[in-house]
Formats: sequence, structure tokens, C-alpha cells
Amino acid sequence: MSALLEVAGLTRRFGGLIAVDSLDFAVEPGEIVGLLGPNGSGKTTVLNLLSGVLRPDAGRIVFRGQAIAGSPAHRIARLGMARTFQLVRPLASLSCRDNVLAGLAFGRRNAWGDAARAEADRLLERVGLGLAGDTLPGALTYIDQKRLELARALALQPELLLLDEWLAGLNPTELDAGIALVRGLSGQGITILLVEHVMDAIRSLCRRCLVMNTGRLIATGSPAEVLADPEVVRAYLGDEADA
Amino acid sequence: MTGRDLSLAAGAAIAVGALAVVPLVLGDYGLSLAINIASYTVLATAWSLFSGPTRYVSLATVAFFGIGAYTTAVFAETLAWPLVLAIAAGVGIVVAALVGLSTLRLSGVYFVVFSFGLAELVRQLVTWFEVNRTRTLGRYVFTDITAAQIYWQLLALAVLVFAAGFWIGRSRLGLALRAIGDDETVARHAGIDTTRAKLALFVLSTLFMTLTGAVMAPRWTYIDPAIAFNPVVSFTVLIMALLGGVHRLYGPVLGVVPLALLFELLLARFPNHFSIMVGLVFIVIVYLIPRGMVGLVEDAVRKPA
Amino acid sequence: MLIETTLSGVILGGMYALVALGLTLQYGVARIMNLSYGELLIAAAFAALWFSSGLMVNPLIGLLVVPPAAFAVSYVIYRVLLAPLVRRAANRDALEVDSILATFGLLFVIQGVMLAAFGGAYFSYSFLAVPVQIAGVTVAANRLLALVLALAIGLGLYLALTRTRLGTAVRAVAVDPTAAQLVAIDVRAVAAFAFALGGALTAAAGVLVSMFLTFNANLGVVFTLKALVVVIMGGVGNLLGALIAGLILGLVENYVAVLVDPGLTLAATYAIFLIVLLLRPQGILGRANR
Repeated sequence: MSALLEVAGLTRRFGGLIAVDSLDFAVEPGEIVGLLGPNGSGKTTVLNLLSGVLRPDAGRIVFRGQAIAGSPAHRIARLGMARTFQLVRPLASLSCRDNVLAGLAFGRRNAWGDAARAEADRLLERVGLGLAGDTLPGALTYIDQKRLELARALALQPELLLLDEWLAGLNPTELDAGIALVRGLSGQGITILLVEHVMDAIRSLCRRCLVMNTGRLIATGSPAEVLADPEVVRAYLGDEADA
Repeated sequence: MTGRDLSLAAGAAIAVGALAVVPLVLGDYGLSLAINIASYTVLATAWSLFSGPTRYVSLATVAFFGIGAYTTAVFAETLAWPLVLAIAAGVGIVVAALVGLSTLRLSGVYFVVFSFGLAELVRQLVTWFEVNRTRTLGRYVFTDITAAQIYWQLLALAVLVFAAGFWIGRSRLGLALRAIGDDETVARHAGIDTTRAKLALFVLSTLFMTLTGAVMAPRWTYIDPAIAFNPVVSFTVLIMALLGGVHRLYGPVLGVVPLALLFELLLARFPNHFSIMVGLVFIVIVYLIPRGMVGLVEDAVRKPA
Repeated sequence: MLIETTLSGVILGGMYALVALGLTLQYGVARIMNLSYGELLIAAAFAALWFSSGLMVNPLIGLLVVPPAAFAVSYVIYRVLLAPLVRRAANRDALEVDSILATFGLLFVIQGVMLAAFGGAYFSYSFLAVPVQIAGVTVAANRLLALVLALAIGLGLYLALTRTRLGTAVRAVAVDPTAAQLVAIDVRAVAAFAFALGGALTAAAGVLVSMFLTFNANLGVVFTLKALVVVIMGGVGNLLGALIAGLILGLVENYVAVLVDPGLTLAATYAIFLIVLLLRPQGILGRANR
């Protein structure tokens, strides 16, 4: 079986700083892969490179057999890669339904009209916002705005979903619901790459993790394996942990 | 079509019918005022068609208006009128596409700067061409088009620009543009080709400006680059649209009518201090009515409840 | 002829850089996109004219008086006219749009006042209009003096920004207003100061330009445009970038005027502007944002 996403030699610099340094990894269809690392290690930059916000300085990104490095974001989205943002970014002047409709109308579904509106409502219900169709995102709580972002991403009918700290900031009950939701999406056949700090979520969702530090991949393996890796411990806690 | 749409269409038809008889009722002065209002209605509505949802402040209105006016000056004598309008539209579309393709990828501020100078650039290029190729600067516009005919053409353009705005508001393009106005990065991640959407709207919006210039040109008997590309036009359109409110289709008209009348008055009373007055009016509007007349109207409707 | 063109291109470019310095402070630090910028410059040129032709004194005296006056005027403009917009703006984009609109209105007010006072006629005065030989090329002494003074002012500003406490605060605000606040810098006071200083620099440029250029009340827009192009090309808030962009612009304009056609200089300006923006949207020396 060939990989859904293949990254080779991916590199991006900001001025003198190398944010992502010749990264290699692959994601197989159906996986839930965790992308870990201390703050500033380059995780969000990786998501920005994958989804087309940033152009890589070097390297290859192959998604569903197509080279997409440097492609515009809208083309990558239509190819079936959707994402959420670390800080929620709802379209503030659009109702929740229209937020989702945007993804339906311009993504792979190419849907419009009453059928598309019904589908948007169905997706809102799927993430637990069934009654919010006519509400403006500003009236939602933070967690509900996160749900809305997820619904908008799902509207693209993605094969690969990039979640950027989507589970951060939730209380224990919400976290359980969020984990169940992500697992449900995976059950529908959506492959998921998630950047996350919440270790409980990582442990219960991911079979495989990638750990980054200062732009480089320092460990891969199961959550238990990578968390036991001395280099990972050093990256999180600093050199004193050596002693 | 829903019942609301039907009554809206019926109301619009009655309004257009009433406006169409204006030239038969008014004298010369009244008609010239009506032409002024009609032309600014088209320009300001077309302006906010693009600048409202995308939040790109365009100062290039007169570049396209002038292109239209100049096309008329060049071809009106030799070609049939519909052909003249078609040529003006064609030139306007090509220029808009070139400008749009090269600037709409840039952030909003760069677009403002570029559009700020576009009229000046086109004016210099036209001047250069006229001086070096045709060896004349300034042309006489000879047509047998009457003031009433100009008014009716402008009214037709106004109907078209409103119809276009109405259609866009309900189309995918409209949704795409509102998404872009909110957050362009998110819009792209929803699969929207933001450059193409902005370009399509920019071309459509400037097409109306070009045609307005072409239709208005016979009002002057003599035209030169300084008249056709007068930056005050861009400024006036911007301030009228802002006073009215750019987030509703009917907004700009609410700014056009009072300001057209006010400017008429100021121009008659203070011909030498006109630009000071206009500048002050503008500053007052930016500070006191940031959401435009539409905002005032909506607040008034909401409060009494 | 090539040397002559190059030299006058360098002089023109140096002036453009000076003209742009004020704007880069106003836009880069105070975040005000000031469309009435060129009008202030022309007003300063008229003031210099008044010193030279009205009071019959050396226009260089104007250089001591006019910029401080412009500093005061700009400070008041910022405090009265622009500070409310800064307070009202939800984010940087909103402030940019609001400041564009407000200063656009201001443009017409200042221009209207000058038109009412001087009409649309062109003015100039004669000061040091004697030829000087440099490396076998003839240059007017007033242009040379203007360039030297422009370089001195630019160098002075650079030193002030890099070597003084206030200068460091100004640069901090330019890079990141939020972070500057965290290290106890009064961002609003610094922004007002930077806007006023930008106004003073503009006025200095106006005085210098008036020594060798024929001007009228309508010319401000051209300077605003050139300054905007230089600032954006060089990278917003970057003094060295503004100098490089100014020189590029001056040289290209002169070459086009001499070798191609004087009527196409603005087209050349725009062509470079667009090429730079398409290749390096952050400007020649600007930094990419994450």
C-alpha cells in the first residue's frame, strides 16, 4: 500500500532561522499520527507547508500521488487535505451554516443550493452544533468555534485532516467528547495528522507519533516509545534532565 | 423565485419606470443634476461591489472612467454608438485584467498604493501616446446624443449594476467574496481560488466604471487627459460609497444623493474653496459615520423595537 | 553622457530616499498610511519659497525653522485627528484603511488651502544655481548641496535611531508594538513622536527639493506616490531599504527619461514597483513574516 502523504527533505527558513530542517516522513491511509514537540519546534510550520500557506524552500510533498509542494492552498484543499487552525479562525460575518457552506461550495463536493445547505446542517450536527446554523460564530463559545472549524474542514470531504491543537483548552468532559469525535472521523476512513500537547489524547488516539525539535525529526514510534526516548526527554526538559 | 423576490422585482420595476420619465419632467438644470446623480450612482455602486466585500480600497475609479471617456472621444465620430461602447468595454476589461492579475495577489495596502497612482499612470501614457503618435493633445467629442439619452443609458447601467449585485449576493461568488473579506487564508483553505474570485469581481466592477465614462463623454464637447482622468472623481466616488455604506447593495445610493446635492451647492457657493470643503466633509464622515448611512438606518430600525 | 545621467540619477535617488524616510517612520512605526504626505512636503517648499523670496533670507535658514514647525503640526494632527482612529481600530488592517481615508480627506484640505493661497501656478526661486564640475561632469550646486544635506539628515536619523534610548524604543515599536508594550514602552507616545518626526523629515525634504525644483500646489500627490513606492519597495520601516529603493528609482527614472522617453518615467516607476512586489512582497530588505 502506498502512502497517502509522503514528505522528503522538507525545509523552510525564516531569515537565518531554519524552522523546518530536511524533514522526512510518511502517513499511511487510515492512520492517526501525532506530531509532537516543544513550542517553537516547527510543528505549525510543517502544517503551513503541507496545506500551502507557506512555500517550502526545498523538499518534496506528495499527496495522493501528486507533488503539491508550493501549490496554492485552494488547490491542496480541493485535492482533499483540510485543516483547522491553532487559534480558531471562523469567518466572522458568515453564519455557521455559511461557514460550512464555503467548504462545500468550493471544495471537492462542489455543492450549491438547498441540498448543500441541508448537507451543511448535517455536518454541523455531526460536530454537535445542530442548532447553530443561523448563529454568527462570534456568539459561540470557544469550544463551539473549534467544532465549527472542524465542520468547515469536513465540508471539504478530506482524505487527510490536519488538526492544529484542536483538543487544547478543553475541560475533561469536552476532551473525552473531542477524542470520541476524532476517533469517529478516523472510523469513517479519514486519515488524521494532529499537532497536540495533550498527552492523554495522544496516548488514546495515536498508534504512531513523530517528535520534532528545532525543526528536525528526533524520534518516531508509539507514544510510549517516543516519550521514553532520552532525546525527546532532553528536548522537552532541557539538558539538566541528563544528570 | 419567492414572494419576497417578486415584490422586490415589482417595486424595482415601478421605481425604474418613474425614474425613466424624469427627463420629460425636469428642465435643463434638473436634468444635468439627475445625470450627475445617475452617473455617481453607477460608479459608487460598482465601486462597493468590489471594495465592499474584499475591503480593497480602490482609488482607481477615474482610471477606468477616463478610459471609457477617451474611447468615446476617439471613436464616436466614426463608429456606430453600440460599437463604441463595445470597444470601451473591451479596453476596460483588458486593463482591469492586467491590473488585477498583477496587484490582487498583493496585500490590501499595496493595492491601495497602486490604484492611487493608476489614474496618473494611464493619464501619462495617454498623454505620451497622443503627443508622440497623433500629435494632438485634446479632442473634440462630436455626437448627436442628447442629455436625455445619456440619462437613460445611465439608468440602464444602474439597473444592470444593481442586478449584478443582487445576483452576486446569492451566488457562490458572493459567498467566496464574503469569506475573503473575513479571512483570506481561511477562504483559501476552504478551497476558494481567492485570486480568481477577486479578479472576476474587479473586472466586473471596473467594467461599469468604464461604460459610465464612455456614456458620459458626450457631456463634454472637449476632452483632454487632465479632464478625463481628474482624480477628484475617484475621491468623490469613494466618499459617496462610504457615506452610504458598502455592505448593502442599496447603501451607496444613500450617500450619492445627499453628497451630489451638497457638492452642487458648495461648488456654486465656494468655487475657490471647493476642495477644502470636500476634504472636511470627508473627514467628518470617516469620524462620525464610520458605518455609513446604512449603519444609521439599521440602528434606527433596530432600536425602537 | 552616461556618467552625467548616472550622477543626476543618484542625486534624484538620494532625494527620493530622503522624501521616503519620513513616510517610513509614519507608516512603519505609527502604522499610519499617510496619503497627505506629499502635501506637507509641498507646504514646506512654499515656506522655503517665502523665506527666500519674501523675507529675502537664505532658504537654509528655513531648514532650521520649517521642520520643527512641521514636527509640531504633525504632532497635533496625530493627537487630534489620528489618535481617535488608533483607539477605534480593531486591528492593524482596520487602522490602515481608516488612516488612508482620513489622510485622503486631509490631502484635499491642505491642497485646497494651498490652491486658495497660491493658485495652480508653478513657483521656483533661484538659490546657488551655479554649475559645479565633478569628475568632468557638470552639476548644479543647489542639487549637490541638497544631496549632501539629505545624506547628512539620513545619517543623523540612522544614528539617532540606533544609538539613543528613544531611538531604540521607536525601533522596538516598529518591529512589534505588543512586545514593546511588555517592556514598558509607551507605544502611543512613541507612535505620536515617530509620526511627528516623520513630518519634520518630510518638511526638511520639502525645503531641500524647493531649492532646485519648480513646484505647484498640485504636485504633492506625485511625491506621496514616489514615497509610498520607495517605502514599500525598500521594506516597510527599513531605512537602508528606503535608501536602496530610492537610488534604484532615481537611476531608472533618469535612464528612462534620457534613453527612452521622458513621458514614460512613471510607467517605469510602476514597472519596477510591481516587479519588486511580485518577487519580494516584503520589500528588498524587508523580513518575511511567519
